[in-house]
Amino acid sequence: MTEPVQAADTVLLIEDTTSLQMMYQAALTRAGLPVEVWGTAADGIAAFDRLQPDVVLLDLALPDGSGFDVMQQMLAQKPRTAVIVITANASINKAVELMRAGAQEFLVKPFDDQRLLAAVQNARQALSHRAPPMPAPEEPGLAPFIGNSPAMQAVYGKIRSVARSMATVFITGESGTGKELCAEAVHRASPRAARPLIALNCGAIPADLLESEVFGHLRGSFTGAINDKLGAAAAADGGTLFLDEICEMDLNLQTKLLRFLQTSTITPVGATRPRKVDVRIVCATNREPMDEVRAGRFREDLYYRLHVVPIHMPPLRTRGEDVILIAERLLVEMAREEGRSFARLCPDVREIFRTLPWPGNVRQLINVLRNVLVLNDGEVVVPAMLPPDLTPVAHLHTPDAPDEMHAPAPAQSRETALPQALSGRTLAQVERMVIEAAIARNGGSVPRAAQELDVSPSTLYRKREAWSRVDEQAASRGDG
Amino acid sequence: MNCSTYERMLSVGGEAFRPALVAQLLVDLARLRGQIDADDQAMLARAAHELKGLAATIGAESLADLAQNFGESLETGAVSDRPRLQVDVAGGIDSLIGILRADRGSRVA
Repeated sequence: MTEPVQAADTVLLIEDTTSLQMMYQAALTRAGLPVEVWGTAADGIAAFDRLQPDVVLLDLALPDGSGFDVMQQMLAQKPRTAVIVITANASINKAVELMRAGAQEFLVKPFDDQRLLAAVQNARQALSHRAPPMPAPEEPGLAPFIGNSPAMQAVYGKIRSVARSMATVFITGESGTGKELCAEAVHRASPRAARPLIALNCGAIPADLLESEVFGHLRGSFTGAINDKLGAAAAADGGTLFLDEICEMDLNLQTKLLRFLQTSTITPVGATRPRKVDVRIVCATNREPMDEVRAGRFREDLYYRLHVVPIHMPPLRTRGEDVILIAERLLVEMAREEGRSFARLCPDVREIFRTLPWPGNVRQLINVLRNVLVLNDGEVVVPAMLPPDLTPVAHLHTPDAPDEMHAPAPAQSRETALPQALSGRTLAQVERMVIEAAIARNGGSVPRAAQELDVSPSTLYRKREAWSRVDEQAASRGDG
Repeated sequence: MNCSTYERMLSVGGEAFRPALVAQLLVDLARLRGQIDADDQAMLARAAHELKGLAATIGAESLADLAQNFGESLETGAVSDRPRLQVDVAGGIDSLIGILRADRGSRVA
């Protein structure tokens, strides 16, 4: 007597070309695998909801929607699904993007029946061994992040560990480091991924309206309350509530938030009866939370209630090559949006990006790229395209911070060496000598020379270009 | 035409299955043939993309390459090449339809 087929064992195939459906289905059926076939995104999602299959074969180009969106919807609902993406586009960037978004495997047409069967069998085996829903711990990335530096690997590991629990997550980090992305990643990796993620920026909402925003209100409870309002906590019921800039919350509301965390009940403004809600809390701040506690601006008991699992988002300057990975990925995406043809950064720009401090972190990087895209065109970003105010370390340290990178050369050697060499020279010649000496002293690195001279690297690159033109003209005239 | 791929994929469901598969391939290719003659750029791009995958899967590698080139010309706006590519793709589809019809005819009892 054969065992009944479990719905989850059925391979769900979503492919719109009927003859391809037939070939794939025939291959799988001959191998003894139960298959259900649909040709549209809508039908595929409906079948997924019903079957909750372990393995999905999904064509990326569907007539009524993007296969990528379908995949994300499926994985949000059931993270432990092996989605094997099928596409006719062999782009490596596309493959990386899909794998980072949670695809189990990536099949490029044409592929034969053996390849198809191997992918499905591998997926089923991987599921039987896999513990965390997505992605597997040894994989380098975690959607929606870009980057695989050691600093970010530590963050991914923490997100994967904490996602499955109900523990409150407290995210810290400088502005622009991706705290909101981190909250999104925690939610997506959690069993609550199919439920809402409601984000509230406590710093952007006036203090007198924040309680209503968090807990809701009844009609007529205050001037301007012309309708009942659900509130973020109730809207996130079953899901995740993300409180950004939590340290901006005033003390009165902090008290009510603490009561909510202790009792899991909310009382909307104007209501008399509390209501139970089931939310997982993630919060974030770019301040130092213990400083806020010590200054009396943040309740200590609330801090310890929230600070259960801290995740610190590293600044971009500590993430090594991630700055290049992020820049080049975003450059291509943004170029497509702006109708530009930019595809990469030249090596000099990469070197500049590696040495910049990025006080605004990824957000600043995005602004720089947007500036380049809007004001320039071409395939390659070169230093002359960079904003002139993209300054090196010296301008961006805080006044009290030690400026180790700019330790001046010993005054004595400066005073004795330069004057002799400079006598009889024009100012332009002096400038050129100083710049070229700095570049030579820094092993040919223009960005490091720029740091030493306290100017932007693009300034030095422009001067070198101008000198090249002058030298060429002089050479063609036969000057000495 | 990569005959090895063609035979392998058309035999994937066994001999009894083959006539139904050939019949469906003819339906799909007739549809794509009609779409390749359209003026609608979005429809042309979708048809080129679909044709590329389908043709390559059954070993019609030259047709797959033509479909890819045609799709790229639509993406990049290389207008001058488009009419020639459109004719070439249509001709390629017609040739493949001829091969499949012959396949169907050779297996009729």
